[in-house]
Amino acid sequence: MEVTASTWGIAIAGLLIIAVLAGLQLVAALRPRSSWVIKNIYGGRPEATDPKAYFAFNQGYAWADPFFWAPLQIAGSIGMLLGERWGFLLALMASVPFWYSAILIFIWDRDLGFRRNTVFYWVIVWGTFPVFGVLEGLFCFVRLLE
Amino acid sequence: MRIIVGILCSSLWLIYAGQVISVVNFRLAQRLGLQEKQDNVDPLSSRLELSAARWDLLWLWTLPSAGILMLIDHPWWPFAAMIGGACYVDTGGREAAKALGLKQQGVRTGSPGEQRLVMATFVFFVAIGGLAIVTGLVEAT
Repeated sequence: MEVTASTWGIAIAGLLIIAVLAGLQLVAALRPRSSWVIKNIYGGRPEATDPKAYFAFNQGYAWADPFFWAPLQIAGSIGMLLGERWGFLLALMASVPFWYSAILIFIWDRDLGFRRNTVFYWVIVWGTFPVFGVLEGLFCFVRLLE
Repeated sequence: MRIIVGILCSSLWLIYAGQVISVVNFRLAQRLGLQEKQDNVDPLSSRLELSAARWDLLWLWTLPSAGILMLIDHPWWPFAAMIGGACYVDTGGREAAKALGLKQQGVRTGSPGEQRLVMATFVFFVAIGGLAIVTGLVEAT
């Protein structure tokens, strides 16, 4: 398949976003209750909500992101850059958790104390994921139909 | 193979219907056994399940819809199967991790039988999602 400038953009953006996310979540998986992880990765405060739910929720994500999602996105991005059809197929699948988990977090983040009504939260922390997920999914879908 | 996987995926509309009942009347869903009985769970767990049911209505349709596309052999079915399959594999894994985490933290999440049923549902999600992904990949590559 043809590797266009858009292909490069989507593939590299996917790699960058997932590298940052997976790196942080790997730290959270290895040090689930450290104060640094709570402050810089989870967000919110465990004592401000139910600490049991807070840690259980965050740990589910900490394990899923680096070990399931990241390999899929990395393989997809590499495949796209190589112009391989399987790369676009893997990237199509990898686009799902971007919007899927963003809606889940939107439903729970107030209860779990993550939500901040700031531009930084809504645009960077939360908004990046559904926007990129929809963009990547649509792009791969259209390219696969060609 | 496409027909078999299509039928399996289409059967997931039953789970969607169950979650519609949970959202409309959570007590009724508990009485019907679609949700854990109130006596066996912490209020926190019930709240999380109700939130999960609301969330489920937004995405749970993806794989059963792909199943219908498989049955009518629509040209888009491989892509729909991969999108829906990814949703189910992802949610099965994340929800299983969440349920295990809550259990380890001492949150009552249902009777032993209910907990086994919940985990079996998540394993089924991962299995049917994985099957749909493989079927779609084989067709699309």
